[in-house]
Amino acid sequence: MSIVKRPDIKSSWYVTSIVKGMALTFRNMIYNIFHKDEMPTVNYPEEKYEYGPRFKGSHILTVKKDGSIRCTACMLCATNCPADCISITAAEHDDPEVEKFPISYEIDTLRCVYCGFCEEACPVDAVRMGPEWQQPGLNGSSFVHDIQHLTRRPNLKGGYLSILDEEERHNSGI
Amino acid sequence: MVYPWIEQTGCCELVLKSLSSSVVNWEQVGVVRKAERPEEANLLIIGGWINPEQAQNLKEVYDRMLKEKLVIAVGSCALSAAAFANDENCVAAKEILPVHYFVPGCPPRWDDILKGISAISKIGMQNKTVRDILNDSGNDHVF
Ligand code: SF4
Ligand code: SF4
Repeated sequence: MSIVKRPDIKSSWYVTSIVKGMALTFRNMIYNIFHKDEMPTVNYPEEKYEYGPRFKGSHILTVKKDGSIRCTACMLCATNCPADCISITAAEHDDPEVEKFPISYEIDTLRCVYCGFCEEACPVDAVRMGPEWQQPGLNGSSFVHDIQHLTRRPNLKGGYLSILDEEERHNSGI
Repeated sequence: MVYPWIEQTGCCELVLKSLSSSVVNWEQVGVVRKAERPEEANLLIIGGWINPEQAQNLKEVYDRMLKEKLVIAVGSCALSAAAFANDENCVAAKEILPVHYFVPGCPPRWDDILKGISAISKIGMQNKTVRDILNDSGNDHVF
């Protein structure tokens, strides 16, 4: 025969647990009133959450010191991209020493998964992941970014200069 | 003033769940509270990949929502099926529903989702009180 014991009055009396819980809540409330800086909550439109400067976000096409675009239209990034979001059209350059250059270079940010494979694949350090975030937008705004946007959008403050020049780059083996 | 209903899968689930954490104050951008049933919601947030079964489910949820419907797609998979575009098991949100706001990223940060919520709640719900929205909804049995 099994005996089921009735729960005694102590365990069914829940007021102590409520008092304990409320004590914790009020303690935290009072603490947060006097220590506002330590509060984890971010009030979004007024305060912005700061991300690290090494963050890898929107793409940047780097330019050489003379202002021309560094990309040589080798298509390695487009081949390596898992989402097929880079479309490059190569064109012949006037300068006989330069083989070709991209006449259009478009990245579809709706498809990009920000994996950074394009940056890794590029042999000439032409495409980089910049520190700023991708831009959300309403239906109908443009999400396909062209060369003009990738090299000289206002946030970049006039072109993202690749620090190394051709010769320095060869010497340092990049 | 929006009542979001959230459909989440994949990595975007983590970001969307963080919206209701203590770090994010989403009442600030006009979210009254999370809807408990699709019938109470006027904002659908879709995050993560969508397979055909789920697409069916999403359409059902969309039909059950209040009359004034807004849709936000979050993350590359929902926006355009991104890396799975050649796979028939992943469909983009814009192929099945009218999407009002796109939040790119993989996964995106929560700031952008809040930006989206505040942006589109301004279009649809201008100068409207909760009472107006409920009166317009035509769903008498709600609330
Ligand atoms: S980050 Fe990845 S998905 Fe985006 S363009 Fe580069 S390779 Fe393609
Ligand atoms: S960005 Fe780099 S990898 Fe891509 S086409 Fe230009 S040079 Fe080649």
